[in-house]
Amino acid sequence: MSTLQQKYAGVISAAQSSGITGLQVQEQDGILYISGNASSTAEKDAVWNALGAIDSTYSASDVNLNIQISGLTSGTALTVATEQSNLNLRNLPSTDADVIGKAAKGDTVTLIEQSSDDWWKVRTSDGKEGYAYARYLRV
Amino acid sequence: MFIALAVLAGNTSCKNKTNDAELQTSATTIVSSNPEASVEIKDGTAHLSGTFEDEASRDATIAQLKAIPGIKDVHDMTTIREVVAVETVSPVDPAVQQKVADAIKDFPSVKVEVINNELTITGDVSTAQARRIKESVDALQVGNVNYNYNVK
Repeated sequence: MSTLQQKYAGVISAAQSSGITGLQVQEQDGILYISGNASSTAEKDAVWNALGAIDSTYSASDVNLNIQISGLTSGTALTVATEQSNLNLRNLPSTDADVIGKAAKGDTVTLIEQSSDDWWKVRTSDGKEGYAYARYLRV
Repeated sequence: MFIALAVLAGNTSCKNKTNDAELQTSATTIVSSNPEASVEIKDGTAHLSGTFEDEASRDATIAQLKAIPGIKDVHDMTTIREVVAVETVSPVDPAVQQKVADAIKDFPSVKVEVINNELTITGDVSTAQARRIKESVDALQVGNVNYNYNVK
């Protein structure tokens, strides 16, 4: 086991025990890449919490943690988890696109599709549809 | 007639357990070629765990498990030891720049520059914000990133 793998062993074991699928651990150019797929925000958070226990300011450059929530089906209920503000719904998957609706923190929205890792298309309870930044949605 | 139905019903309820045991034997035979892997059958689903040398050998094992009559699905919980090189993208690629802008849009105090072809992130952030930024930026796979923000 390499020095980097030892340093971040807690992250790797958290990924293994929380049920991350397709887990890949690989060292390249001095960076330990840990990637895999989670089926819920809780699974993903468990891995990121393990990183926080090692790197409390999330500023390490020698580890790249890429856990994506994947395989959600259309109709899945998602909770808006912004810090304070409303979540913008946009007409295209980009912050350059027009805002066509908003969802408040704590609201439930319905998944239409996981358009990319970053942007998911959702429908609000009042029927508005648009792209939301995935990091602000919990499942 | 009633007796016959009752016997049939009884058989059905026992069948799952019998099937799992039979399937376990077949599945274990397949997986035993890799001493670092193991498989557990539960309700007709194979839960495959352990370490594989590469994706090809893992995929081959999954295909063999799926081919066992009676296996409903294979749940992949494995780790790959050697994988193909991580494909990184250039931080100056306009598409990547847009994604970086998306990632830090809600944090006006944060600044991102490309210095020597590496992303460098500066500014004052909370721990929670630092985590969100790293989650977004790590996912872009742009190679080395200097997370030089000041976490308060």
